[in-house]
Amino acid sequence: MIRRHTPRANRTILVATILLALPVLAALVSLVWTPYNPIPVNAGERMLAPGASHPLGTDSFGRDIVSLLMYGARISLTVGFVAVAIALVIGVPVGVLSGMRGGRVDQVLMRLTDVVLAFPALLLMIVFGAAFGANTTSATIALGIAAAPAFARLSRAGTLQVMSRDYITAARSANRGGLYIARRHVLPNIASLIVVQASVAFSMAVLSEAALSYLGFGAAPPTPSWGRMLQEGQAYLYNNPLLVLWPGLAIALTVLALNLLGDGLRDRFDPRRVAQR
Amino acid sequence: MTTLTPPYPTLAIRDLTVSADGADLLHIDSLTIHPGERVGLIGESGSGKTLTALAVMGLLADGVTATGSIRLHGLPIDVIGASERSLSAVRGAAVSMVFQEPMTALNPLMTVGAQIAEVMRQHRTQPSRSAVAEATRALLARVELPSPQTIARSYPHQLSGGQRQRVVLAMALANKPALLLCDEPTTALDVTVQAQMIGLIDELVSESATSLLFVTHDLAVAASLCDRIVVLRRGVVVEEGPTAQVLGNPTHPYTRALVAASDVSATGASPFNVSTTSASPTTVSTTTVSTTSASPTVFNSIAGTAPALIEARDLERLYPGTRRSLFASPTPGRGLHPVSFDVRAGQAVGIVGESGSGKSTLVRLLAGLDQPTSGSISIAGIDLATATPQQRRAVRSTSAMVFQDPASSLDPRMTVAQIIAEPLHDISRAEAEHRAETMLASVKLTPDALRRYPHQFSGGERQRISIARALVTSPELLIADEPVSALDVSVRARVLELLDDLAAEYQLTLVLVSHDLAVVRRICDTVLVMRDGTIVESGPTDEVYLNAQHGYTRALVAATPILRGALDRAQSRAAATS
Repeated sequence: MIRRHTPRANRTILVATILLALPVLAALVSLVWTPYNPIPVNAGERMLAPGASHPLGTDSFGRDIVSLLMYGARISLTVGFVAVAIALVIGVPVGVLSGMRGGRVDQVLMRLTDVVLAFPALLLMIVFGAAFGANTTSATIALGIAAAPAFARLSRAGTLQVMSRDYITAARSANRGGLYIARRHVLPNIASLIVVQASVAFSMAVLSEAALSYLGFGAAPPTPSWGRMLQEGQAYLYNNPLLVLWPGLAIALTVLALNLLGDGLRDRFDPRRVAQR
Repeated sequence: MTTLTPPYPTLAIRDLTVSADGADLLHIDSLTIHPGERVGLIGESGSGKTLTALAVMGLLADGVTATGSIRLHGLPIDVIGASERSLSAVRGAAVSMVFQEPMTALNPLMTVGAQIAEVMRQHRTQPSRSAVAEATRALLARVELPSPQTIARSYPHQLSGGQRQRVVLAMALANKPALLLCDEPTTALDVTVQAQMIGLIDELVSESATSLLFVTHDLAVAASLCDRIVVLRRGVVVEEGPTAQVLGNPTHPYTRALVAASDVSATGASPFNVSTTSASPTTVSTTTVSTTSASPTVFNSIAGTAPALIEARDLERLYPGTRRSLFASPTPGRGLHPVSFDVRAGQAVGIVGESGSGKSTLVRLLAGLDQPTSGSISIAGIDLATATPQQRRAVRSTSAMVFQDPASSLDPRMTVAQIIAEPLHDISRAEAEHRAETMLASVKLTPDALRRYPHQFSGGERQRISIARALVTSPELLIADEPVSALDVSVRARVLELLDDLAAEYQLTLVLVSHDLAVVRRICDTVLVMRDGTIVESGPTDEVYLNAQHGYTRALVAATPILRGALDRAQSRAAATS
């Protein structure tokens, strides 16, 4: 009897999906509707406690926290997705090429990777912010570039392992070219590694965006993001800790969901794991 | 609990059941080993041999539970249910173990001397530090390692496989155990080294009157060492008794099948072999290295007759930066030294040699996966060195490969249909599937395999899939690199038979590389014997086998364990003692 997939992996994916659905839905809904407008300052309603009209209260500018969180989800998730996409598109081809070609190509590509890796990620983002303006776009690009070396290194290691297998020799002796081998053998076999790394990189991007916004280099001031909410709430940490609790929870849950999703996907898409137990 | 009376048996297993996840993996009603007795535990992979050894050592993995009783040498404790503390007093002292893979059994960061000393210090069997050092040197000398002083100071990677296994044996014998467990101790070794190792175990065990539980899949090895044989199948003992009786006159059908399968060469020459050798009597001549003639010898030369499919002249492949072990005799660097040979279309050529003989290098050159340092190789009239990319592609499509390791030769992410159809370029999906199905049938697998993934098949089945992929393009040349050495004995014969049949059916030229003379003898009409990167002898298989000209070939033939020979010796041994 062949079981299609392990129940454990499925349960993990289910939990992760539900957890992730919250911010994604919030972000989508925020495109058309938020309870209040999250941008303008409303001096009359500063720092309201949670209540009937504002379920989670209002911030120091009198903006509704629920609306801010929804809008912030949009920024944080977009930054995360785009940054990971940039990292994947740069990192994976570099790593696979490096691993398949070896020799001088490998040397050059890996030294370039080392250069980027040696550059402190946060510094890179700040430099980008200073050079191209402190906005979400430059932060996202910087995050993507900073995350790329990890993908390159990982893909290279995975590729080297796959290339030592006899089925690669078989494919080569069957006149299959490098592109075919990369597409049919290397990528599927390193996919699980990359998926896990992508989920980690995504959470890193969400956190880094928060950090950047906190430092004032991410979302430009009126635009709310989770990180900016943390930064603004910090000043009132003793008076009103709820201000930092909500964005903090949102970040923590999203990162947890992404890590769970990474684990679940890895188990789910490995035919060998499927057969066990 | 069973009470035991003196003289205590060295090992008494009663009613042992090992299970995991609610499934019984192993059940042994009763197994007793008396002092000085040698028992061979044979069976195929998954039969529970190793599990038995681990249970005796109290080393079962977490989640694997054992019930019943295992008593050692009259010790007051039962291995099952004993505390880790009391077990560690027994392990390495009353009972010790030699593992299959000596590289992983040794700590790469400790000198071997320190590792042997540790065993003795652990159990405080020597009175002082200097006594330990002295005993270490004595042990290394006992396992016949040259210059024990130097060996004691070296690290595992500086030693050869055979030397490492001797070190592991020295560790196992350090505290004069009552029972020595050996789990396939010679399987990872070359044939000639294996023969020495078995001789050594034989000698040391009889010298110290140690009892032996020898786990192996190789019946010939078991027969040459053991007094009694226990045959395990799927966790159950199917037959046991004196060696000569169990292996010479087996009663259980499974034992009979094992005995029949273990002598691959004895299944007789195939029709394929007969037809090709008889068709060209001109090639029937044995060649050895000629030291007198100035021009290099061309092995298996077919001068004058039909054009050769493979023509190698002064073929050389050297690897830069050859690292030699500290103690290796000054051998020429690895790789391939100039060799010249021919392979005629339709021949089944076996290439035999031990590890480091250059077999694999030669295979890579033949498959066009590597470039020679010098010399030339041409396949079907195309010189690979000067070939255009198109020609090289054409050569590759006339040849195909089968690999040794069934675990790494199939992509785990592809279905069997995709794997088999991979070499077919530019054809529709339906056509590819159809061809894959046809190939599956010719390697005797059912079509339901098409949609499944490699991990759902046994080693033998995977090798069949590998063969199907190799033959799907109807190549002229099939290169098989140790195609059966990773397989169980009973499966080996069937896969070889399949290869043989298919070679005839597809009119293949077969180049089969193996360290096992019996395998080559089973399906090859011609053999090339390699050593240290050169060919030392070639000729018709039977002639080389029975009447080897070169000393190395003779040593190789003599070292290959043969069940019948081992049984005869076992019989005379039994007669001498009674």
